[in-house]
Amino acid sequence: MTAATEGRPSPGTGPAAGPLASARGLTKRYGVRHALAGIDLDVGPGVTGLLGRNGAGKTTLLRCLATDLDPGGGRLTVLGESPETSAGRTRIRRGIGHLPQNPVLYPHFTAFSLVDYIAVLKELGGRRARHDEVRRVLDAVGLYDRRHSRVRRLSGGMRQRLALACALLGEPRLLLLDEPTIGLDPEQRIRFRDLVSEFTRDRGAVLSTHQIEDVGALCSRVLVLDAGRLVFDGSPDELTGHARGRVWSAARRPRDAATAWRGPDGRYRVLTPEAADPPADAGEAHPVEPTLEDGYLLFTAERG
Amino acid sequence: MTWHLTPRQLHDYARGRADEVAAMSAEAHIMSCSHCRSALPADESWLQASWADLRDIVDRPRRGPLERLLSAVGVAEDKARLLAATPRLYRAWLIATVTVLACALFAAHTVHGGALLFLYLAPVLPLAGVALAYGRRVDPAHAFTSTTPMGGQRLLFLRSLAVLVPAVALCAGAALLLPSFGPAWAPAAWLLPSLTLVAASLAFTRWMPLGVSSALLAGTWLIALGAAEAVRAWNTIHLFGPTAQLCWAVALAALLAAHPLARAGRA
Amino acid sequence: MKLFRRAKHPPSFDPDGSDAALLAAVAGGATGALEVLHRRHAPWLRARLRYRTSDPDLVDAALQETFLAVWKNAGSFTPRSADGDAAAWFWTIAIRQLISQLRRRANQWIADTDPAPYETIGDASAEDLVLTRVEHGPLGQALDSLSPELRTAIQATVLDGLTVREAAQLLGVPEGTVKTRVMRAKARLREQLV
Repeated sequence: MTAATEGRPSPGTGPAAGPLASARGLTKRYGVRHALAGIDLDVGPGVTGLLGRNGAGKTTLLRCLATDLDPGGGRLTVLGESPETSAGRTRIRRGIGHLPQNPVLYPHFTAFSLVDYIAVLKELGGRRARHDEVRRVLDAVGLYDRRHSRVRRLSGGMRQRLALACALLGEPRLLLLDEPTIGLDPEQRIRFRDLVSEFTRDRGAVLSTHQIEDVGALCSRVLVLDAGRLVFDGSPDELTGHARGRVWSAARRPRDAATAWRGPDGRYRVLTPEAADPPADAGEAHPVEPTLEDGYLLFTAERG
Repeated sequence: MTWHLTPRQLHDYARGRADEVAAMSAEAHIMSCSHCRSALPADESWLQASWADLRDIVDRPRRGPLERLLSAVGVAEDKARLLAATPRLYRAWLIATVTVLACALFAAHTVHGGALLFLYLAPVLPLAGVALAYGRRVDPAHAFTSTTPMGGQRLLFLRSLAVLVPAVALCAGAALLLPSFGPAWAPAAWLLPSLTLVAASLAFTRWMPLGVSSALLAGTWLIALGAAEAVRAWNTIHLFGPTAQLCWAVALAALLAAHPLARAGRA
Repeated sequence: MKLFRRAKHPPSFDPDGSDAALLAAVAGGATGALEVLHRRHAPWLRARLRYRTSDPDLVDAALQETFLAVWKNAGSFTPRSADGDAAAWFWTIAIRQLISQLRRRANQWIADTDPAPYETIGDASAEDLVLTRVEHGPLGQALDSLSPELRTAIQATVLDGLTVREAAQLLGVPEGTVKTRVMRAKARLREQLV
């Protein structure tokens, strides 16, 4: 496939240097509940993973970055622009690709016409160049052969990929992906990782997910959100390191574990709140190598 | 085939450098020899460009009748695409509009003073259409479209246009079928109130969702008229009289001038 | 328009399959099969058309029309040989599209009319069959001795398989002249080869 993206303005031509997005004391309230309770954040190139429980504020943060929600307080700039004014929002939108959570697409459209419709909304100019770009993104997500199928005839995984194709339109400088790998089978997830890591060589992406393996495989940086606060900001290795000395394989479930579950071998994997001696009343226990998931669980369990 | 053209011969022929007899010889050979045909050196960039041109023609998605009609009357290709692509509720609204107009017409012909009912209802129909054309609640793909550069006010404006044109056309068509009542301009008296209400509902989106503002205006309009009718304190026909029409026109002009797109255009 | 009314699910195809198999897939709406055929046939068609006109734009336009015609009429192809090779069919379309481009350019102010019934110079004669074997033996030398006018007349009518009228349009001379040149050329060849 040949990509034809000529004739369109370079997206979001703000100050090139500096972070792709930056937040200072960002808050967002729904009624009395703080969805975001003061977030400080700088997003650079590469993939930034966003972890946290349901309701931790991941989607709210992404929607603020995507100019879909007005933050309630604090300062936010995306691609060097402030989303406070309508003109600023439009300039940001020219430079981002947003994949919303549980994307719903018009079922009566064909895959091609749906992506084409979004391409028109993204101001990709000229019918010919726009159609070539639509073909490029459909090919990138492996849906080119189904381009004339109606959306309602596509499987859940295919719709997810179609939504991703829409986000990739126009080669945005910053991708904002809200649970992009839901509904994808393992092969498609690998393909997705490849696509995103290829895409983010000189660009940025923020990816909210419950798939901790995706974070380990893709992200150079992880953020853990809990109740609207940023509780961890570092590399995946640092998050794993947080659990070092606190993961045990034990014969019994101890009472004071942060979290523990029974493995297929009949032994318990125990995460202890402190890096210390083996957990008490767990019977025979020996330390094991922590994983990224252990690090994440310790962060959320500590605050649960 | 027992023999093949030499690479040199193939190269000369492909570059147009073979003399006439050599070319004729090569041509006669390649017609029966697929091996030499595929061995002809090809200009890869030309081949790709040529295929891209061809694909653009054979792989163009079919355009719906509405989109073709819009293009035929001079709407730009991308705008036609946006206007023709409307949420499913749009069709439901269209059917509801036709039904309501038919009922109003029936009432106008059978009930005394029924023509007034038509005047009351006609301004509300486009309002409902606009409310159903844009927004998180009614547009399933709203989360997608709202974060595109065209999302927000521009898409809202286009969608409103896609509603207003058929709504006004349908109401105008129905007005022609009204029994004669009042002065000659009476069947067109709904037009300015109707456009003003839509413009007001769009203007109110600065403070509230479109659905809320439309419902608010439509509700206020219908309740006020109903109340006035009920108490008979004031003849509602004045709302459509010449003085009122002037007020409607002034209000409409003010609302349009204050519209964000108009302000952005002036800036 | 027939062009866009295609089956929802185009048939699958083997990219290394025969022309006939690919054309069958194209008839079912597989643009991918058309791409394979384009890759397979466009280069040689382009090279060959370029020996018929010096204008590369005309060649490109004729080629695009050729493949559009293939897209629309793929179902009408009937393979002549066992291997399902469609080169001759492609060439028949391509050379006629080139002539139609030439005609359009020559009479841009005249509406494109349907061609009148074609007049061919008889059936393929023994001489014609000999001529199509131009790559072998002494025929090449015999052709070489012909004047360029006679040679192009033979090329257009016998090798390219055009009618007299089409050859006249391609060469830009009256039909009578084409007929005379073809007769003279055949006579000369007969003298030299017998």
